[in-house]
Amino acid sequence: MTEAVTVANPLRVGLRLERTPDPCIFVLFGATGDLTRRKLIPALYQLSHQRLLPANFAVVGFARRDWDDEAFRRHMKEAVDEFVPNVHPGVWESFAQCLYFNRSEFQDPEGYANLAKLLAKIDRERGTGGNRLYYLATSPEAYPDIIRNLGEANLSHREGYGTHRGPWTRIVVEKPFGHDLATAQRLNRIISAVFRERQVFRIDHYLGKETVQNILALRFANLIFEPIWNSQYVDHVQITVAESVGVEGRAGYYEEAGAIRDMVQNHMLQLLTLTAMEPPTTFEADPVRDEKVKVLRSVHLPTDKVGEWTVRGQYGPGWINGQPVPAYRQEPGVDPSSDTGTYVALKLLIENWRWAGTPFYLRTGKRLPKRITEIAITFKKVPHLLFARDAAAALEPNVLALRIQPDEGISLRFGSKVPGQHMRIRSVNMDFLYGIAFGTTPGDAYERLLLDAMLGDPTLFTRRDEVEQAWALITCITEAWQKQKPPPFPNYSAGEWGPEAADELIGRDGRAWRRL
Amino acid sequence: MTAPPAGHESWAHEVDVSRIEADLVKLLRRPENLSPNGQPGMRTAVLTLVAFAADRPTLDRVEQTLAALVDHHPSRTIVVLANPTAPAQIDAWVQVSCRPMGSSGINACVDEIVIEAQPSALRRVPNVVTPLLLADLPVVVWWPGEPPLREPLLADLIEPATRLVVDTLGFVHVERSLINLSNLRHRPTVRIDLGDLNWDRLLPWRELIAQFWDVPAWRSRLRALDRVEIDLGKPAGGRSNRAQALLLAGWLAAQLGWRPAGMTRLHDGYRLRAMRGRREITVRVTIHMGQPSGIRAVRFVVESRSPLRFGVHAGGDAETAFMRVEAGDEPMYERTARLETFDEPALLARELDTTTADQVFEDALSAAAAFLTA
Repeated sequence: MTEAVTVANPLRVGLRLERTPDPCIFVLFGATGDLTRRKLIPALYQLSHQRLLPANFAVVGFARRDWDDEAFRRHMKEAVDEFVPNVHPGVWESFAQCLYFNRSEFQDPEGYANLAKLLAKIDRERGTGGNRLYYLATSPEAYPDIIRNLGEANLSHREGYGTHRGPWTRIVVEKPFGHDLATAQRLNRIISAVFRERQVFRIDHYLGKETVQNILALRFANLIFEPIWNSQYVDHVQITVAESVGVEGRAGYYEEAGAIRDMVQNHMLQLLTLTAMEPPTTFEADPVRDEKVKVLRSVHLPTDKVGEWTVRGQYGPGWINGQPVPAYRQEPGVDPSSDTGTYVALKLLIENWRWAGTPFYLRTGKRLPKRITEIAITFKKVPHLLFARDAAAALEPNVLALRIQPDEGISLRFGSKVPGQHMRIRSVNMDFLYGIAFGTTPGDAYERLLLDAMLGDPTLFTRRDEVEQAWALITCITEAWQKQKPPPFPNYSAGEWGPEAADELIGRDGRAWRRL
Repeated sequence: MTAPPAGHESWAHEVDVSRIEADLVKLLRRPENLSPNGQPGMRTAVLTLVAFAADRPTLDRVEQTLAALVDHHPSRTIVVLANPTAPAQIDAWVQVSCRPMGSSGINACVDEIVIEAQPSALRRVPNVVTPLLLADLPVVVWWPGEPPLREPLLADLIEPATRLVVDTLGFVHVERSLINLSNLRHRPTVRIDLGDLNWDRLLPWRELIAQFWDVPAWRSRLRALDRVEIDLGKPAGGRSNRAQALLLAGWLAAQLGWRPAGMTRLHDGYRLRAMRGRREITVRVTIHMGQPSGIRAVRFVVESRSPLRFGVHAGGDAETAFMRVEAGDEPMYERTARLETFDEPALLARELDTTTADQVFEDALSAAAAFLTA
């Protein structure tokens, strides 16, 4: 069955999913890796547990480790036991029967020939219908070999796709998608030689978060916000992604990536585009992504301003939650003279009619005092204050804060009269917490994204031009940094809110970072 | 003022709406209800829930359910308690429940107003309830047990409401009440959506059954369906939940385009007849004594040419189901799936989450009633 031919199941009306994924095989490259253990297999198990997987479904792990089907099932059981609460033994047994393993090096063509035979066998035995979802959960260096070999083994079905004559085949690519603009473009070329763009799903798990999707709900399901969501009323926007953790054993990756590639290129620019975009015509993949790309094309950071509008930081030793923690350079696997930035602050302008003149300040870092992700829209002050200066001394501008994590919700700060004989105004917060209003625990982002990939809905995945446009901005910054002398590291202590230079960055504009 | 019932930190007084509201504010300011920052607990209300308790045990059950819902659906709850021995014709008391939420420990509070009325004063209760409804928010009426579907009290209580939630498991006169519930929906003066906790218990069964129709190869065979077999359990000294079986049959009929054509009562269940065009489909409901209450198995039988059976069977524990497709006696497909059982708070939470008409339920209910009256 192709995705375009969907016969309605009348019994699905009113159920959680009005259309379930077609029977399919999920081919997991990197099946012995950390992402598979921590996120992917637990998410697939949870989908099975919630009866959301198709009746005919299988997983084929593809990796070089010397495992067989039983070993794969055993290791995945350990993963599920570790990362999933309340595993149902019967459901696990049933799910485990659909796990298979194909041992191979990623660059070995014979491994792909064996994969093709295994997939055909599973199609016959389990009725999976020829539909394939390839998931690249390996290190990025392996992507070209895998993609090329899938093409050479005729496993991409590029020519038949979209013609309604054959089964579907899709590929999900994990971040990082490239290291800079050139490598991202190269990877896109490699992929497009084997797969059509419609088959490609570039994952950014932030987009699977309920609270990130709620940005669109807030903006476009309510009339009251849109008229003031522009430079006429908004003074500035702050986007903060703060982590209290360090590199957590990922030094090999982080030394190359740094905060700007790990967080800004993907997650933070996603938050920025969702905040700044124009309303799409419909809530479908391409109209939404078209608007996001338009924002990215409008983002402006002059090359000669990079030094002034960006701040890099690296944490030194300090304290987190009362416990001493080492400096970044003392973390296992980190070069003691590393110049990798664990903190970035940026000022960006969006040059379009909606946002001209309204700066967007972004900051992200590791070993900050707490974990919090927030978008704060700070509105301008009233044009004329009616009240006596001392009566309104405590009055602050209105702020609409969208808290992505933790304590997911929305907060609005506004001025209110303090009860009493005199007119005194002070700011108060009105809070909406997801956890209070709805109570249900949101599903893991990966569950949503894997289901959408199987359903063929790319709305929450990034498009080729979106990725390249984001890299264009980041590459402009990193190339400018390479021409400058790096700041002396470390320049902030673990447990602080970043280097002083970040305060100066925003302070020069007469503003300050929110105290979170 | 009468003394508050034991265990309630509240005031009981004559039903004076402004005093009720003032007393709620006082309760929110009590030290134990303040947030760590010293602010009164946050009232976040998404709806008003009006619950009817026909007696004290039902009131206790209602309050246990509501206590479990504080985290899920903070709301104002108005509980109407019918009490023949109440000291006053109508009386009311209020209480608040606060819980810390999130890492900031902000207290989220919900309020509950209990209106106790002697049976002779029940007709006045809707008039007391109306000014206590939160402005501009949906009103859900929850009636545990068997509601008086043809009586003015219910009609008056549901007049401002958007949704009426019942539990057909609690219906004593199952067939008559299902018909009356279906007829309620079609009364021209009634503009309300219906919900049924017993229908919500069917969700895992419906999802597992729907999966058979997801597979194209199976769907083409299921079009030649001859018979549906529904096994219903009846524990010793307990009830069999016939309403659930009738609703399941109604669901299949409504969604698959069958016309209910009749019902025969048997000593151990029902035989329902439906027509799809000129093709007759039989739905045999069989009650099995000594088994846990509710649906135990559903089988779809195709007898023509090469016979096939599609079945979902509840396992020995309450949370497992086995799906099986058999050609003759040979299994073609087997899978173990999870079959949740939901407690009352989870079921009610699901109903409170539903903000529009559950057309699938209402169609299933209409079809079930049509089987009973054909």
